[in-house]
Amino acid sequence: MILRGLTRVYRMGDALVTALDRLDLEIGRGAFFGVVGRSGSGKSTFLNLLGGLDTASAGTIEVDGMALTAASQDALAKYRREKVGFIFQQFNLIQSMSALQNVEMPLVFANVPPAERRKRAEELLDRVGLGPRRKHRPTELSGGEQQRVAIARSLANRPAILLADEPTGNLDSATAASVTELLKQMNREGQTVILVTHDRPMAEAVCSRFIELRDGRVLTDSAVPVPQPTTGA
Amino acid sequence: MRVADAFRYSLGNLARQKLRTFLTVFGVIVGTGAIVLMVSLGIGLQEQTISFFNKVDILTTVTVFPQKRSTSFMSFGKPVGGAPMKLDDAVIEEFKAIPGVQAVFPNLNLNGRLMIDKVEDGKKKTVNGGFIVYLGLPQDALTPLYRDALLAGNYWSEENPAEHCAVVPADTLYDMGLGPPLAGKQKPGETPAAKGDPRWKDVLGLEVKIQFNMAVAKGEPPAKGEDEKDPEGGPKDPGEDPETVTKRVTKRFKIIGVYDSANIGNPFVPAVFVPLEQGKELMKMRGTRGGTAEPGYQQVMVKVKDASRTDEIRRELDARGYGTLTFQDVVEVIGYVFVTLKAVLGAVASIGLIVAFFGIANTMIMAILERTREIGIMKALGARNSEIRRLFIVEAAAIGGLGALFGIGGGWAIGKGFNLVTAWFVVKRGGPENVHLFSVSPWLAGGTLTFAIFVAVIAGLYPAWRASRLDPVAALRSL
Ligand SMILES: Nc1ncnc2c1ncn2[C@@H]1O[C@H](COP(=O)(O)OP(=O)(O)OP(=O)(O)O)[C@@H](O)[C@H]1O
Ligand SMILES: [Mg+2]
Repeated sequence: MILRGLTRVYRMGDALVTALDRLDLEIGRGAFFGVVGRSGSGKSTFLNLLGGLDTASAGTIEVDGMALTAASQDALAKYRREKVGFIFQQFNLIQSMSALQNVEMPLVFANVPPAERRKRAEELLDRVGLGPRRKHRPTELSGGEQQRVAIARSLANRPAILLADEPTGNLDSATAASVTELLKQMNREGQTVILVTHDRPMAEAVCSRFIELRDGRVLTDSAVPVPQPTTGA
Repeated sequence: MRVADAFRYSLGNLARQKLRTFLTVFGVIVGTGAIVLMVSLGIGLQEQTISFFNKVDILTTVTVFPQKRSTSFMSFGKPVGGAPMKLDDAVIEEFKAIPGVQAVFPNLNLNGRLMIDKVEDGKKKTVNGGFIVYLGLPQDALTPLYRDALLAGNYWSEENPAEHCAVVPADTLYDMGLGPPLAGKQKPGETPAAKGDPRWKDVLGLEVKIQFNMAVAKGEPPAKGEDEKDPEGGPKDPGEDPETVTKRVTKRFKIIGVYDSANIGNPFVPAVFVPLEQGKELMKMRGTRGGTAEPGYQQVMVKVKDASRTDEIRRELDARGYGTLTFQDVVEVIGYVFVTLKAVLGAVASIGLIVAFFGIANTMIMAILERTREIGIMKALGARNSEIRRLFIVEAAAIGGLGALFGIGGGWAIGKGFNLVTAWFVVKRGGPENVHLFSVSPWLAGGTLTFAIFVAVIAGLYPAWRASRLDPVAALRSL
């Protein structure tokens, strides 16, 4: 994954907000990559751009040789469907559907036949320890359970990249630990995991490499031993 | 995304918002119900109009003219030029030789005034029966239909050729104070007649007089009628050839039968039927109509054995250069009139669907606002814009389809209800059975369903387009 001069500028009326400012970065395959930084530093923006949900104002992202920044809407949809699994702080499950149906959803868009996708969804729910709760709706599940459903869903299409935006932000520490453990397990199985968190100790503990963002720029990078001279306060 | 999945998702969402779905669907029900009701009224009226003429006899009749006739709406039945062919007894024999032809005879008709001398209170009195039409029929034209219409007495036959005899409509007789009334025509206190009612006994054998006004050429010898009363002629019809003189000729006939004119699909009713030979005799008395008429008959009726062969025989006669008209031509002309009527009725009723259109659009926009986050999720999971669009169009179409099914059913049921009530009234008043005003054809049902789905899809296009264009990041952040 190669990022070159990646910039995202939001327009708020007359004002321009630079959420990401000329980011240059390379992330290796199979990495457990952490992004930390305080609120508003551009972490979510970074993740959305990597996931092909948002479009860059300038710069390029290249994933396995595919230039996301030049891709059409349909090509981005295909990229999200085949390459990426999202895990959100808000879980983002579809409220009207059961756990099983939620996990099946990416497979529905991938045109997987019903019997096959059902089998796969059941396997995934078993794997995150929610086999017996597959008929439950999100409102009938605890936060930790919902996030495990969301993780099962993100794995449905066997994506190469998992993008997790503060997946433990709404969970107590014990539940958070089990969710983090799941992510580590995925990473061990070969998936690239990009984890956004404002919990720096956690990033230090689980990530093979992590960066700290501030005002849309890289403040520190654990892969660079000597911290760069600070540009701001 | 598979079509079945799109339907499951869309219908699931409709089922979740039951009240709102019902209210929106109800708009479609009213709209489509109104269309079905109105257009089925048009269809029903058309069917009634056709069935009014559509008696077995008329389906097996080809009317032959010396010249080709127009079958277009504006000039139906008018000659369209070309050299006229001669229609005479020799030609009639030729027609009879065509396979499948049952009978061929000239269509002779003359307007005449029916009169009967009656003795009332010891005084001789002439009762006037108004103008009726006189027809000469050969024996072999008396099809089962004509025989079924007979109420008393009999037709002439080979064995009983009966000089100067006539079969007269029961209604005309009743209006002249002779014989019993038919069902539905009776005055309070009278019993309507059934077939073979003995009250017609007195009528059979009576002598009737038919007075004809005939235009003959000036200077031609006066027609030899029995009671020539007014050799200078009565008042002329406007537009009558000025070179002709109207002669009044009276002929006497003996009533040998009474029939029900409502049961014969003949446009010339009420008519007095007399044997063909007498008819020809009368036509000869009329002369050549001032020398302008073509020699030969103006119309020849060809009766076909089997209605399914009418068209074939008609084409054969066409090929021989004659002009022909069949009942099918009349049905088609009636069709033109009713297409317009149905279109107007349908257009008026479609106003309901226009209202439903806005209801559907509104509901879909509400659904998209509610499900903005869900749309964001689906996009994050890899849904294409076209798939999002399809989900919402399917949802709109389902509203239209669902409403149309109930609307068509409802419109049909209301029409059926009206039909039962009208049929009951008609039968109660002595009218025919199976009268219906509303009729739903498969075309109407299918067309209304398609139209409702089409309108619903159009109503869903903009909301669906809006949903597909949602920015996924913003959508995921909503609510
Ligand atoms: N749609 C938007 N319109 C305008 N400004 C935006 C928009 N989205 C984000 N921003 C701005 O961009 C900057 C980065 O936002 P971002 O959501 O990436 O921060 P973050 O690091 O994820 O913060 P948090 O930890 O609170 O989630 C912020 O200043 C934010 O106000
Ligand atoms: Mg964020």
